[in-house]
Amino acid sequence: MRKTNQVIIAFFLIPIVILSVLNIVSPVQVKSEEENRLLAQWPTFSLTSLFSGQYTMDIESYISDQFPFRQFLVNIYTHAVSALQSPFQGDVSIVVRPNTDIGIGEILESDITPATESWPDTHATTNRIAPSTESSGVDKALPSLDPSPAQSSPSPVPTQAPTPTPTTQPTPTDANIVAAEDKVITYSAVIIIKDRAMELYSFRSTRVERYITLIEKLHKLLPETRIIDLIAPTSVEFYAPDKYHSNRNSQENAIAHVYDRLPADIVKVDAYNRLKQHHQEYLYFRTDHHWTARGAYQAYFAFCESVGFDAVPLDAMKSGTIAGGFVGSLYRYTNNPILKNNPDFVEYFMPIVESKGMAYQSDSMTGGYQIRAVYPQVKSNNKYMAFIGGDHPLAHFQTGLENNRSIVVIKESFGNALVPYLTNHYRNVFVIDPRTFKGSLSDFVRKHAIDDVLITNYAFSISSDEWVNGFQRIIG
Amino acid sequence: MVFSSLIFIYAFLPLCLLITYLVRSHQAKNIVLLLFSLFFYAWGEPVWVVLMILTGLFIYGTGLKIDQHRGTPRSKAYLILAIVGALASLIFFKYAGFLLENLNVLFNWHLPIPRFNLPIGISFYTFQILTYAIDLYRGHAQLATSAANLLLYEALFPQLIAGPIVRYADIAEQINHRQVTPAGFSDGIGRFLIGLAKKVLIANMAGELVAQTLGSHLFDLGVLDAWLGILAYSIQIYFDFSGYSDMAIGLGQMFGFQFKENFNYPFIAVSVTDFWRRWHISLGTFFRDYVYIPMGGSRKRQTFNLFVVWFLTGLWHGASWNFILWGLYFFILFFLERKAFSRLLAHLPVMFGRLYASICVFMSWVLFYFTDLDDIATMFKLMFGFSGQEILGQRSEWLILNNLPFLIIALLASTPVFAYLGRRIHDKMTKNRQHGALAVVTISRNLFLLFFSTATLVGSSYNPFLYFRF
Repeated sequence: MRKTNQVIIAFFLIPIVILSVLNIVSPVQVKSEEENRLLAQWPTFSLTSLFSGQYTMDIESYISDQFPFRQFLVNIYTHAVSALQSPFQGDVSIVVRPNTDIGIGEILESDITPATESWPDTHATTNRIAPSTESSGVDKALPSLDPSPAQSSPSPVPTQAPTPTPTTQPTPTDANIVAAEDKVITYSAVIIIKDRAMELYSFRSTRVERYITLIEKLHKLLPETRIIDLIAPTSVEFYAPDKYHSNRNSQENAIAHVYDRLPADIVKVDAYNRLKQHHQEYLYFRTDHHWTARGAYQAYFAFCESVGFDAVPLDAMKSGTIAGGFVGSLYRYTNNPILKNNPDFVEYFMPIVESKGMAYQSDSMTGGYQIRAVYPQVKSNNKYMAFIGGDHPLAHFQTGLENNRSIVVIKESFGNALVPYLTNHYRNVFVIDPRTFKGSLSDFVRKHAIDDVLITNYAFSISSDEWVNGFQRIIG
Repeated sequence: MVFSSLIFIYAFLPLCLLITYLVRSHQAKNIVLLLFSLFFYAWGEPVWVVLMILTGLFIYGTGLKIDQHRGTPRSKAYLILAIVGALASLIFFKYAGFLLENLNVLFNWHLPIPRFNLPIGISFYTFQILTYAIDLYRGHAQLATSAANLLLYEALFPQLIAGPIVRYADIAEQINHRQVTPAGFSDGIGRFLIGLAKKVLIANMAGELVAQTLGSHLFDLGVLDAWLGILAYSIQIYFDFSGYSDMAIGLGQMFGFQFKENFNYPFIAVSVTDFWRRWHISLGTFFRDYVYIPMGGSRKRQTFNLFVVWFLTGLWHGASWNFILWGLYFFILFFLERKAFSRLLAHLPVMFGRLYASICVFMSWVLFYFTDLDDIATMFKLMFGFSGQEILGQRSEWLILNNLPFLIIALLASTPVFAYLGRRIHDKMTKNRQHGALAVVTISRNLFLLFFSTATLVGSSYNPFLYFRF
């Protein structure tokens, strides 16, 4: 008996001790590719952080972020949860996470490879017109935001989990801790059907009220300017069973609601039906929440119909595929291995009109860096960066077109894939991301003699506080 | 620090076991345990650890006086001093804000409300240390042999943060004489891991579901979501709390301490009275022995005594009116059962009593979860269809389908079914002298629980940052 008990004890203590020792001796990881974030490092000691409790919390983050076989254990956990959820869900699985803003903005890393073969001229041209601090052109466009030595980076990169993990959760036995908290946490949910992940949508009219009011206000501020609104649906609308996109989950209804409410002389682009007609094509990524260049093209086509342009046919544009598979945000969200094993690919279509692109931090348009409408090669994992290089506060594409027409596009990341097509029609294409742009939109429109203001969104962002707050800020 | 954390399992516990094993003398073992316990507490409460130590020393000092003046009125005076002192600190830290807020409302004053965080576990260790002073006065307990030993009792990490409320008289002997046996240690491991799994695999998962339902705006929910949310909360609170008690009891065994049971399958209770004999037992008996009986118990003013006990039980859980309501809700049920229900229930099939008790307890969690009284009203309206909201909310269908297997397992685990099966296997194998096979079964269970709890603790730190903003 004594012997058996000792064996039982050994089989408890040995694994614990092995993992403890491994935890200490294994090399410290800096970044998790899977999660696309920096991992927590051993915190620096200070009396303030000790007494505030921050120091010990940081150590706990360090231990869980640096735990031996971390990704393996994470995968076991994900598999176990999805196995537990599957019996009544069939081949549909739904992953829920708190407070994850899938559409949060991202700027191009410095690893875009300059095009050499497929786009010979622009590189040189850009250098001529835009005196950049870097002689090598696009590379190192953002020196202050250099990602490599992660710890010293001053940028607001989360070095630790922003939400408390159960590791640090108090037990509810001091009851007032677990009881309802003041803060309402919003949950997003992603449904996976076979190898396609889609964010679930739900509509409440009160959540789009501000968006509508702001466009009305902008219209009043700029009575001479043509204002165009384009709201695009996401993939769940076309590739999920009806119940996930009907009634209150219908983006079609949501878009119709907004369009109905907007003043009559605002141009409303019906991208929805165009995308619906073509939904058999590769319009949306399966592992990322964005549309593909083909999806954006359908919206561009609808835009041209609405404003009276002749859309450039897709096959008239030089096209290609970006090397390397693309596994996007929805994979990271769900950590689902099926998505990882079935990566997307990113196609691009070069505008027939060449353009010079610059991106700026503010409306003063000084100290900019060079960008392109389309990058035929992207080293970053996020291949969607191929389109205008991500979310810049302000971007400007100048073409050689003689028409003297100017447009400003107010957008989030969905708009990035749309912008290149617009350079086929305007002398100046300005692109504003209201989340980071600082300045007044109406001043900007007057100063640059803008003809068209295009507000383009996907259905989720019209009720996203972050985006709408930014939109409100630039309208004033 | 909490037990259900990687740092506890993979750093604190092995170190603490190693060092207490290495030091030889009993006194040294106690000192090591005390230091580790203070570190354990200071990890999460680096400032208020001082308060806990001061409370312990204060009670130790008054205890000396209680003992010294035994038999004279001064002994009682020192007891009163001890009680007033300990409760004053509890009231100041836990209830000052609540009291002032209510005074401000009542008299239209504008007193500033102090805003500091509640020191972790203060409700537990205050009650616990009071049992020493009271039992010492009553002659139920001996004078502590040293201040360090009394501090060890107060701060002993297995039961420090979330109970059970261990009485000094129950473990005084073990502080000075205890033995760790392989059998006790291996039992302790099993108990600890079961508690860990209850907390990590069930309570935390249920907590996610609670957040996904009750955590959103109530007007966004369907009727079914509200019921689902309260069901998930019932599961969360039982598994969280009883899991913590299991871990405490298991850890106690690993260090040679025997703590009393704190839960006994409360969800199969046949009446509300029965529920409270099975739920947080150490709190119920504390109020019985240190409040109800001294007030006169059933001999005089019984209804008033019960009212006070339930009022305090509610208030003990938190400084907010909803907890008081929660306590008084049980007072009413308790009272009705005494007067009439219990005789009625005795004549009905036992399943009826279970159903009745489950419904009563289930509803009580609405009062427990929502600290805002308006939310409670809204929630009841929603649950019973008076708010005009749909039966099925936007996400009800897949929330239920997603979580159904989990809910079934959790509800089964809240009954004695698994424990019964475990005992059957154990008894059968022991009878057939299959000790080796039994060890294999035990080890497999332990490794399974440890592995999945660890994977879940690590897995829930998976925190994808969907876009990097370099």
